[in-house]
Amino acid sequence: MPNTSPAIPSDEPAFANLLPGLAMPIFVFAAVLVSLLSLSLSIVLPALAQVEVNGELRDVHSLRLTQERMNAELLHREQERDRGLLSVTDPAYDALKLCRGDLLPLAALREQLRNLAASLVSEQDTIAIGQYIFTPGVEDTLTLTGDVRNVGPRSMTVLAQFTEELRRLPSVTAVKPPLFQRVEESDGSMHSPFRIVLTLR
Amino acid sequence: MISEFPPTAADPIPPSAPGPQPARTRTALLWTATVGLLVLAGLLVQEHVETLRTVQQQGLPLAAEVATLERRLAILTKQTQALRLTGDIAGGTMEEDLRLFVLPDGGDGARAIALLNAVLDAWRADGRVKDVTPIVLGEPEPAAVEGVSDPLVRRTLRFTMQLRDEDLGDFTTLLRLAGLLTVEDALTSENRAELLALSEAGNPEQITSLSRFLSTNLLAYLRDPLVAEERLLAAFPTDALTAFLRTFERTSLIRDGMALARGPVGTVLLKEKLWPLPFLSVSSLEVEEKGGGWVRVEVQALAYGRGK
Repeated sequence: MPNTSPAIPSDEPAFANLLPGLAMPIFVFAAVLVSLLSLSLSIVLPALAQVEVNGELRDVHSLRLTQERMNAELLHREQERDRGLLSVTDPAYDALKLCRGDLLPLAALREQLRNLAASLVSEQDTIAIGQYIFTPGVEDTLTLTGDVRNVGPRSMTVLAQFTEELRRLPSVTAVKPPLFQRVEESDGSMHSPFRIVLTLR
Repeated sequence: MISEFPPTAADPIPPSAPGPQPARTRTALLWTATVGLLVLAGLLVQEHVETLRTVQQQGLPLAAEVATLERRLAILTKQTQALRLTGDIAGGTMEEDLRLFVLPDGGDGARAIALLNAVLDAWRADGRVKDVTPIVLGEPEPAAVEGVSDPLVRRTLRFTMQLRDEDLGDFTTLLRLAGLLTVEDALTSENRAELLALSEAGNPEQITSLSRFLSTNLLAYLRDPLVAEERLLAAFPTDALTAFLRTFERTSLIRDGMALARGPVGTVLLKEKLWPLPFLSVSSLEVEEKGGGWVRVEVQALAYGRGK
């Protein structure tokens, strides 16, 4: 005789049977939730999203607009105050001053370069800077012409060392290095003439 | 008894009783609407979170900034009103000095020549300069300066001299001061911003004292800074301002300018009424070591003036 005991029902039909019953309560819950959130968004949130500035409540958008307006007004006021402060307001004069900038304190820089040259080698006047040519422009340049002498065959090494030290100066942004050459005189002495172009800050 | 068989055409479902099909449709619709509502609820919750986050991240800093801006605006308004009330302090004289001496009409180079002659004569008398070549003054030529619509002219000026080593600094300082009128002209933009910020921290109505300080004749300040500084400190008695003034005095232009103005060159400038100096811009400056404490200096500069 075949087994006629009823099959155990699977979970799937039972869950499917629950869906119609749950549909309405969950729909009502969702509808109430959306209503409450909408209410909150239109009434509660704007109140919460305000910040007090000088005793007045303002929202972020209005604060941003106020900030932009005040920045523009501040700029205008600053310009007005600056005009009032200045004893001379002449656009041509202002542009010329700006264009010229401040001339390099050449004497101080010359002293600094001489000290640097003296500090590299113990013998005096080994690195002799003979000429300084200062040319102002978009980038101020200072051309140094001179000679490294009294160090025998080491003149080129000393010149390279001097060039490297020049690069480290805070007032120098770029160095156009010299031609490294050693000139031997008829008396057997050696020296390295140089021409270095410094671009100044 | 529930039929075990699906309904057939011979056994139709009565139209009045809701069958499984419409009930299923109704359930499906309800669930679809529910899912839609839940998605909407999610979006609304997200909107809440975003809004509150915006308030926290932007609103509070904005509020602080707006409060600061309002305070600053009130100060600036008071400062502007105070300046308007006192009117033009030294403007008229300075404008005239600028027109007559600094940027003369037609680029008159006479004042530049007079300046160099007077200074070189003073140095020559002390044996501090020698071998001065004649000063070559070029013809006026139009000068184009970016952002300036007024016609300007310039003349080249060239000469060579031998100078004592220690006077090279004074000579370059003289060139740096050429064309500057007031303390304001010697301030860098950073100096200026700092000074104005310090003034905003004090009584806004005292801005007129700052205006007076900035309008101080630069040569007078370089010779004796105390008078102008004390007046300013009386208006803004703060340690920060004292520190600023000490730092300002140590900037290379002011420090070197003070050394020049208090020395024989300063005396010559006053005696010969050469201040304010004409506006000069250096094109090239060559310094050659001559040994024995002398340097040969070759100067090429441009003397500016107004075109006609």
